[in-house]
Order: sequence, then C-alpha cells, then structure tokens
Amino acid sequence: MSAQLELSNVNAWYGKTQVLHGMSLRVGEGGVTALLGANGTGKTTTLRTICNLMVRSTGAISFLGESIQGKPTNEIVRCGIAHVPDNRGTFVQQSVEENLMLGAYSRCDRDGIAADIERVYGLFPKLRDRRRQQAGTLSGGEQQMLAISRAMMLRPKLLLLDEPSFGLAPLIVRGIFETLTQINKDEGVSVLLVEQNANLALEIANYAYLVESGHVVLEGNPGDLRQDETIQRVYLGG
Amino acid sequence: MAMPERNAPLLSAKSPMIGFACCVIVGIAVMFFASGYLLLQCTQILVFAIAILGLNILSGYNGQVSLGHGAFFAIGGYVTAVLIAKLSVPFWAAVPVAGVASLVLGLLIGLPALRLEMLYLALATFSLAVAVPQLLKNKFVEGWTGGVNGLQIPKVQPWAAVGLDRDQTIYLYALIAAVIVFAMTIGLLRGRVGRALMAIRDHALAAETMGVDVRRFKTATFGVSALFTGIAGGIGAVATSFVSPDTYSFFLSITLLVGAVIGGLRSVSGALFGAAFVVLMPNYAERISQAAPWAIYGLFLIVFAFFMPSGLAGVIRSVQARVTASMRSGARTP
Amino acid sequence: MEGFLYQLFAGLAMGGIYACMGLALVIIYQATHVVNFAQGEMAMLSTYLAWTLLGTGMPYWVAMILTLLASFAVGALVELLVIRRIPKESPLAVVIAMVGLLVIINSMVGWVFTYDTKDFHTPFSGKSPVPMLSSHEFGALLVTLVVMGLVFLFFRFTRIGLGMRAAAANPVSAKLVGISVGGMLSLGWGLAASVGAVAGVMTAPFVYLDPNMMMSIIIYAFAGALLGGITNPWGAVIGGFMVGIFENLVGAYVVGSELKLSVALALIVAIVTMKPEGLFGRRVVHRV
Repeated sequence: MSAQLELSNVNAWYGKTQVLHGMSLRVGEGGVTALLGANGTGKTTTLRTICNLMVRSTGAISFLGESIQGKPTNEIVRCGIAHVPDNRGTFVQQSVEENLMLGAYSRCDRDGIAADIERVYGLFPKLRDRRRQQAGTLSGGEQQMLAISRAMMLRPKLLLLDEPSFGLAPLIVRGIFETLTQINKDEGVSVLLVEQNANLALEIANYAYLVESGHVVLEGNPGDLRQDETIQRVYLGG
Repeated sequence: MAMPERNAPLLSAKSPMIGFACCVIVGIAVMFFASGYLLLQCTQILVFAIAILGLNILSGYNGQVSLGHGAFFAIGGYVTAVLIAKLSVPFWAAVPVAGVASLVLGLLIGLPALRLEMLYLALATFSLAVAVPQLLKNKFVEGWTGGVNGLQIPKVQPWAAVGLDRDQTIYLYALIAAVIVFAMTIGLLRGRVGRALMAIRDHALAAETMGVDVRRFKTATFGVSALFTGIAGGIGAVATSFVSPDTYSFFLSITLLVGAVIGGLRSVSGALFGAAFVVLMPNYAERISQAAPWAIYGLFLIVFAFFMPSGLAGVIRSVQARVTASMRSGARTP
Repeated sequence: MEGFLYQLFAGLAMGGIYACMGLALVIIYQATHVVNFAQGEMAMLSTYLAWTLLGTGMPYWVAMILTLLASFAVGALVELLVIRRIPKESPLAVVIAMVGLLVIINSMVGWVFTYDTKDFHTPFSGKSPVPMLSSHEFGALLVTLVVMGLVFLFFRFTRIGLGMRAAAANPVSAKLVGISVGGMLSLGWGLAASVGAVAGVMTAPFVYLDPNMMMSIIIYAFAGALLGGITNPWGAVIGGFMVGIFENLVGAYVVGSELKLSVALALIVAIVTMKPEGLFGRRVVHRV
C-alpha cells in the first residue's frame, strides 16, 4: 500500500507549549489507520497539525507526495482531506441541508452534489427527516452523522476522524462504525481515526499507532497490537 | 478587556516625586517668563492635562472606555460659566462647584456603566459625545445656557495683590489645580487605594472575596474621572471667557481620547505629554491644512491600536527579541 | 391626522436609511466582531465619490454603479489592511482603531473637499405616487427596500452568501470545508460598504453634503441595530424603521426637532442597560 499521508518528525506547539515531539506516521491508500492513546497525548493535535489548524508546526507532512506542511487550512482541505473534529464542528445556526451544502463548498458540480446529498440521506435517513431543521437542535448521534456526512460531501481521499464515538450510545456508535467501514470499502476513502475506545478502533483498523507524550511508542497491525502486554493492560482492560 | 500587564506597578516612574517637583518648578517659571499667546497655550496644556488624567484613570484603572468624556468637560465649562455669568460667583469658587456637578454625573453614570460590556459602553459614550452639542442647544435650558449662541463669561479679576495680570492669574489657578489633582492621584495610587485598584485590575474576583468592594471602587473611580475632567472644563471656560455648544463637539471627546492614548492609557505623567501633544501639534499641522491635525490623530489611533495591548514598549521589546534571536541563530552557522 | 401620517411616512423614509446603515453595521459585526464606528464616514466618503462622478456629467445610475463598486473595493481593502492587523483579543484596540478610522476618513474628506456644504440632487423628481411622501422620500424608501431585499436574497440563496454566513458563524469549520475565511471577511466588509454607500447617497439630498453629514445618521442606525438586536441583521432593519418612525413622531410632537438626537441617545442608553440583545436578538439552540 503506497503512503497517501506521511508525517515525518513533526513537532507542534499551541503557543509556547509543545505537544508533538517527533511524530511520525503513515496512512496507506484505502486503509483505515487508528491512533490510540490516553487523553492529552497528542492525538487530536496530530489531526489538527495535518490540517494546520490552531497549531504551529515544523517537520515534514506530505499528502499524495506533495508537502502540505504550513499551508492554509482551506487549501489543505481542498487537496482532498476532510477533518471531522472532536466537537463535530457543526454549523449550528444553519440547517442540516445547508451543512451538507457547505461540505460541498469546494465543488462546482451541482448534479454531483445533489446526488451526493441523496446518498447521504440514504445512509442516514434521520438526516433526511430533519433536513430543514437547525443543525444545533439535533441529538449528539445525529450531529455525528451530519459531521461525517458533511465531510463526505467533500469527496475526500482521506478522512480524519477525531473521537467519533465520544458521548454516544453504544448502539449508535456501532451504526456509525459500520457506516465508516462501508465508506472505506465502497468509496475507497482512507481513514485516519483517533479513538480512545481501543477495542472499537482495532476492529475496523488495518494498522494502528499508540501515541504517548506526542510521539509514537508502538505500531503494528491490530492482531499484533492486541497481543502486546501494555495495550492489553492499559487499553483493553485485559 | 485590554488589561495592562498583570502585576505591573501602577506608576511607571521610579521616583515620581523628583519628576513631579521638577514639573512644578518649570510650571512656576513659565508663569514669569512666558506671556501672551505662549502663556495661554501653557494654560491650555494644563487644562487638557487634568482632563486627560481623568480619562486615563478611567481606562487605565477601571479598564473602561469613554468616547464621550467631552460631556464632562462640557458640564464643567457650562456650570462654571453659568455660576460666574448669572450668579456672580468668583471664578476660583465656581470651578470646584462645577467639578462637583461633574462628579455627581460621573457617579450616576458610573454605577450602571459597570454592567456594560466594553462594546456597549463605547456605543453609549459615542452617542453621548455626538449628542452633547444638541443637548446644550436645547430650548429647555436656553435661559441659563444661552442656547446656540452660548454664554459670555465676564473677565476674571486678576490677583493684583500678588502682582499678576489676568492671564497669569488664570495660569496660576490652572497650575495649582493641576498640582493638586496630580499629587492627589499619585498619592492615592501609592497607598491603599492604589493597591486595591491593582488588585481589582488583576484579580477582580479575588479582590472581592478579600473584602474589596469592587463596585464601590469602580463607581468612585468613574466619579473621580468625571471630577477631574469637569474641573478642567471649568478652567478651560474661564481661560477662553466663553462657552458655546459647538466648543464641546464630538471631536473634543476624540481629542481627549487621542491625548490619553498618546501619553499612555495608564500613565499619570503621560497625561501631561498627551496634553502637550494635542495643544501644540495643531499649531504646526494646521499650516498644512485645517484637517491635518485630525488626520494625524486618526493615524496615531490606528497605529496605536495595532500594537495594543503592549503599546510602544511592547514593540521595542519584540524588536529586541527578534534581533537577539537572529544574532543567536547567526552564531550557530550550519 | 394628516400631519401625523406625513410624519409617519417621513419617519419611514428616514427609517429606510437607518435600516440600511444598521444592516451594514450588523453584517460587519457578525463577520468580524467589530462595531464599525466608522461606517457612517465610509458611507459619507462614498457619497462624495458619487458627487464627484456626477460632477463630470455622468448619468446618475452609471455614477451609482461605479460608486457601489468603488465602495466595495474600499471596504474590502480596509478589512485586508486594517481590520486584520488589530489584535482582536483587545476590544479596546478595536474601538480605538475604528474611531481612528472615522477620524482619518472624516479629515481626509475635509482636506480634499473642504468643509463647505455642497448640493446633492435627487434623481427622483416629479410627483410622488404616495401623497404623504415627497418624491425623494419615496425614491429613497424604494431604493433602500430593494437593496436590503437583494442582500437578503444573496445571503439566503447564493452559495457565497451561505459561505459568508458560515465563515461568520464558525470560522474553524468554514476552513475545514475549504472556505477562505479571510476572503469572506473582506467580502463582508465590501458588501457592507456598498450598502452603506446606498444609505449615504440617499441621505445627501435630505441634509446637504458635508463631511459631518453621517454623524447623527450613524447614531440612529446604532439605535436601530441595538433595538432590533445587534446579532440579527433583519432585527437591525426592523429596528431602523422603528427608530425612524419613533424619532420623527417624538421630534414632531414631544421634544421638538432639535432634540431628536437626544432621544436616540436615551433610547441607546435604555437598551444597553436594560436589554442589550434587543427585541429580536437570537439565541441559538446548542446541543453538545
């Protein structure tokens, strides 16, 4: 699998505080890669750094062979990277459908956009019911569906997901993860997934990194990682 | 809110007493050696220094903005004028009374103003500044204020007993007022009041729990701010022997703001420098055009805003830091 | 009764102008969280530009279109060169910068054009279809309504309008969908400047053109925007009309026309101390 996204020795700061120390990882084309780790280890910061959002960074970040380090966020996004942040980033004052239209902002193919909106409603029928509703009034699970859908409207090559399961009921989470797998298989969209729920992440990932103190301490495919003692003890409760 | 740096001392000068004494000596010397137009200008500088100190107190210590301090200047001027012209009060008594009137207005405004966010306070004081001339012209108080035409103030009696002519008398009065006002401010700031204000500025919530009545302090500060500017307005009216609504236009409030900003929003001595700037600079700029001083004021305001909150001192520091950094990285040649 | 209707309609006509200015103010406030104290002066500058163009003998509507385009450019440039550099963490810096902008524009216009008042003729002559309104009052009301209607349509139904609303509401998410937030802010300022230009050009035939022409207009616009709710563009519009009518009626029947500005001041003070979010200030429903 060729590397679609590659971080090499990336450092990142919020103001004067350094959060990433030599972070390196790769996401293969069409793969699902998981970033595991406890709170505050730099997983969210990694996703933000890829999009150059709210951080200052050094190091090499390349997507599809081109460097995206330091570029403005909206340009990085237009290269084909969609980021679903941990707070979902919903446009709360706008309607559900306006949120989807905004997801497709960078595109100009009106028919394609309309077709994609229909596909989204097919995947998440609840969103169709609420299409004219103000997005801020949706439940947590619905907002997560909307956030992922909005990201998909970009027709991204790479999807960055930050804690999609956070605060959601297990049944809903299962549904969302099933959809994610479907998106990955059917559309060939690569996924870089940050998840505290290691079990869930390892179920759908084909490669995973364990992050501590702003850099990778362990990596491998899910099978190997599950055997690892540290992971078992700390993250899988076994 | 643009807070001055935390834990910064309230007074910038290390030994204000020496500087202060020097200023007083210079001030007295001016009275004897300057005359005519120069003396009038120096009087104006003192007037504006007092007024701007009022504004500085408000913004530097209360952290509040006032785009309408000209209103207090106007109250001071008009009350003084009415007292002298209609009630034959001697000028040296009229001014303090006018100051008190301004103080009362300041206290009345100060309490509700506490609840307003900076934005709303700015809007309200901006509107006040624009409305002041109209308020002064209105027919309900025309009998006292002289309406559109304003009021002539009978010329003051010089203190001939001390050998001073009229201009010198007014100047000396202004000097005495300035000394009192500035000394009072420096004294208060160095004492308990100053410590309380510093506590409020830096940790309002903590100050409150330690027994500092924040609201009373801030309201009182607003009142004092109005008092100073009102006194200045009174002296200014006496100096020009005339008050009219258009003297107290919106642009007067801007002038006070510029003076405060240029001198440094929380600097006591800065009030004097700001006053000197707004009184003297137009003399030169107006040779180019009537509008030139205002263009310069506007430019100063915008440039100053770019460098808030650290101001000019912050610019110098950041330049120093960059120079040091580049020298260090130059030493580590690859 | 007839006199009352005349006052009412005259208030409506001025209200259209206040509503336009209020709309411009709120567009800018929503986009960049800045109260543009200099909005009136920018409108005044545009009006002087229009006056200059008209002085060359150009047809009125050509001059207007050029003025609108130029105003748009100036507004966008001000955002790019001035507003972006102000440290937004300091509300005091923002206030000072806007006042500085006001003073610069006012003085530059005074410098170039002098402070003498100039005539500015209305394009609306002849008989007004509504007897209670003069021909210019009718024309101004019509124009301001049309302009505000176009702005509404723009924000509601165009892609860029949606993008601007998104950039104002949630700049981070806007970046994540590929919107250039800075570009949207410049656009917002440009749009607001154009809307303000319309207000200025409609005002000039009422009050003679001089550099301080918009000083009191902006106060009424503030009052209207605050009344309607400074977070709601359409609240500002309704507020502007309400202030126009109120101010005119109070001025005609209660305090006399010399004190109308004081009424606006009283209104502003009342609103900010008692109900700062205004009548229609929207509260957004959030579910975390």
